Amino acid sequence: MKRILVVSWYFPPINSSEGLVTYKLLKNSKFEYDVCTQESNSLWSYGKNDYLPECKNVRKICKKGDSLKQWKKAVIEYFKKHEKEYDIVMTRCMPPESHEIGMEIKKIKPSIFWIASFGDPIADNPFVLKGLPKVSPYSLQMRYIRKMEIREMVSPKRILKDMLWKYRQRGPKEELSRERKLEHDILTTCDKIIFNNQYQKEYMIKGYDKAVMEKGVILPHSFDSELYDVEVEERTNKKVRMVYVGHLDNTRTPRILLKAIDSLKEENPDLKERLEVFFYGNMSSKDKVYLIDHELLDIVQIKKPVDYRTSLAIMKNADWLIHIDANLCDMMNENIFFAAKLADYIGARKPIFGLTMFDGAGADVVRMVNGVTVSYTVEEIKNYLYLIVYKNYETQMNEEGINIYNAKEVANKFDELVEQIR
Amino acid sequence: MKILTVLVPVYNVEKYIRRCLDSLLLSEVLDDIEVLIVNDGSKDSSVEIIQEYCIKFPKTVTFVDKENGGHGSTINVGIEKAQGKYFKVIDSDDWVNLRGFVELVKRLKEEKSDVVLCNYRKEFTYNSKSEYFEYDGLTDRKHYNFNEIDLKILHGEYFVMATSTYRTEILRTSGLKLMEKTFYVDMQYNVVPITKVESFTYYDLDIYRYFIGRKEQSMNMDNFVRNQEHHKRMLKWLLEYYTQISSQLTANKREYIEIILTYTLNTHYSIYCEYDKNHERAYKEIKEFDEYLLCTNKALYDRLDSMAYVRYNRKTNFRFVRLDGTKWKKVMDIGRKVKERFV
Repeated sequence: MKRILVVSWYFPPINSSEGLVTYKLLKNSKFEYDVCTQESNSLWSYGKNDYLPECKNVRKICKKGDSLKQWKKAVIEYFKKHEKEYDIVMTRCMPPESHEIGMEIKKIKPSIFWIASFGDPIADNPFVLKGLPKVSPYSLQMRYIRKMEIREMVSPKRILKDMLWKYRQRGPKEELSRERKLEHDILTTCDKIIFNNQYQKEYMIKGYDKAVMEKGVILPHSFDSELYDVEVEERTNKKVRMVYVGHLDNTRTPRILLKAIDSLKEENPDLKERLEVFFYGNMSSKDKVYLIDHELLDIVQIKKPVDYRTSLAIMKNADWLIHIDANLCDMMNENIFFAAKLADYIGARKPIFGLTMFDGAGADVVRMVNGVTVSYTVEEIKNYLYLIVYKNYETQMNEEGINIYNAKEVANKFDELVEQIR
Repeated sequence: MKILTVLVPVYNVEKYIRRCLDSLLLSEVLDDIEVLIVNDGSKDSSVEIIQEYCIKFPKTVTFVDKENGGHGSTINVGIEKAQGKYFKVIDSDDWVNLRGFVELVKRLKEEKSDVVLCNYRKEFTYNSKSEYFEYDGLTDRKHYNFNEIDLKILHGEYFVMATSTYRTEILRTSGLKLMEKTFYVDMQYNVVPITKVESFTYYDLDIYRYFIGRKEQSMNMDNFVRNQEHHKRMLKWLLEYYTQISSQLTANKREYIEIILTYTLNTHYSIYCEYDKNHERAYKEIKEFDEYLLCTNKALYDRLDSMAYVRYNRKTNFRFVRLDGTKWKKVMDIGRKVKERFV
């Protein structure tokens, strides 16, 4: 039996999307794994999951995680000592340091087969780029927006501020070019690349030669049906319950959904007796203020983040599961992100209400299981909310579609890939 | 008899068709409407999705499958097969506002006008913005005699596909037969039936949702440049059609159609004078078309002289178009900005 080394900063009990994706894949695989991870640093994660069953085929090798740098060094040291034990290494990103370890491992043992798995792109991540300012607020280009007077336009103070702003932008620009180089090195050095959807693959390897293109494999996120067994409180009302589980911020914002609820409520004052919407996890303060300002708290409730297994039970207990993707239409025509939670939603076998870009990974997944996809318009969302709440709108889940995202199926695909490695 | 036939032309719209049909098939209207779906040779799974709806709503949904012939061909089939007293086209990537649509169907039961006008909204989903269009010179539920109204109440707007619901009989008697495999057939739809329209009613209802999913869809001049041959073909057809029948029309109808044609001619001239980057081709085309217009309809030719850029281009024998249309566009843009600031 092949012994595979997995390098992943995140792995349960640390609660993070990447760690859980890795966990479900390895748990359902027939191979044995040594996972180099850490349990002391929950930075950028959502707390801990103490209730997940241990994988029998996984041996955890925990290294100190005080910092990524220290962890990276410890993992490389470990590999140096055990290099003969492994023929295959799989590195999981994010964070990209796992892949940096993969590069070092490949240098130490060039014959090792390196599988690099990407949750998101490292460089030119549209989600990150969207948040970056493109034009200096002191630039003359902003004269209409900022309503500059002629005095300000010709002022040396403005010119100096503009120069200073541009100087400060060197940092992110240099970081971006460093990321591009790193991603390029990974893609050209590794032996197989795992993407979670076709759009991500095309986005990341466009412009590369055939050799890199042929390395790409698509392994979708998956759900594990054995994990949906936690009991939750019984429901006491007959309202339609729509649930969102996960992280929201200013870029991935539910604002348009909240606006639609507000508009529907205006037309249907009895809405609060028929609909309840729960958000589990972080929401930006601006959206929370919006909820208060528009008196939507009788319909929309914000709940504390919950551990992974409880979240699965909450999904099972909902009538509709809300999926929200960031609106990146100004940056790209097709969404390259397949949120891991979508696979868990599918595993809950509840209809999905997907607020997503019309073309791309998120929409394709939702459509694959006969969910509803709505674009970023209040009117469209309102229409569907009305149909769901007042017209008992239903969709029939597509079993074939569901099966594509079953962890057993996905792990089988992965196992086939490993078997082909000599 | 059904009150309304909603024609849904379908071509490779598996991503959109559910949104459209879900908005139409409400329990309140199922007995009163016919949803006529005409598939124009789709190659994706649109037909499978439609079949689901046919099974679910057998008394409301009618499905016609045909070989690909373009948007116009689906409307031709729709007009021929429609069983409703009124007829409305809803493109399959668009949808309707539920509340407004139910109200429209309710009001149509008592309606006698040849055309019913409603409002619509452009939904720019890429930036979550929307643009509302309404006929603000018209009064809700008011019945108008088309030949007697002062056209100024339309504020230069006309009846477009998204706003108008025609009496099916009007479409048939007008002899409307849209060109096949040609873009811009909506221009034919906007002009030809008017020749038979005697009355219209305005409902201040917000109904049609016009979907604009990508930024490049809204900046459609590039599309006009790309499809300039279609635009020319359609425009020539309309000019010849109008020239032929204008003497049989009332003054109001003539004026109304001329407003539409002037607007369309303006678009056509600006394709060549402002947007086409192949300047040599643009020069050749616009010279030829200008001469064609002069020969075909002198009145419309003269009417276009009211537009400064057409007038100056004619005076300079379109030489600027030959030099560099984009420079002319820049001059136009600067002119517009100056005008916006000072006028």
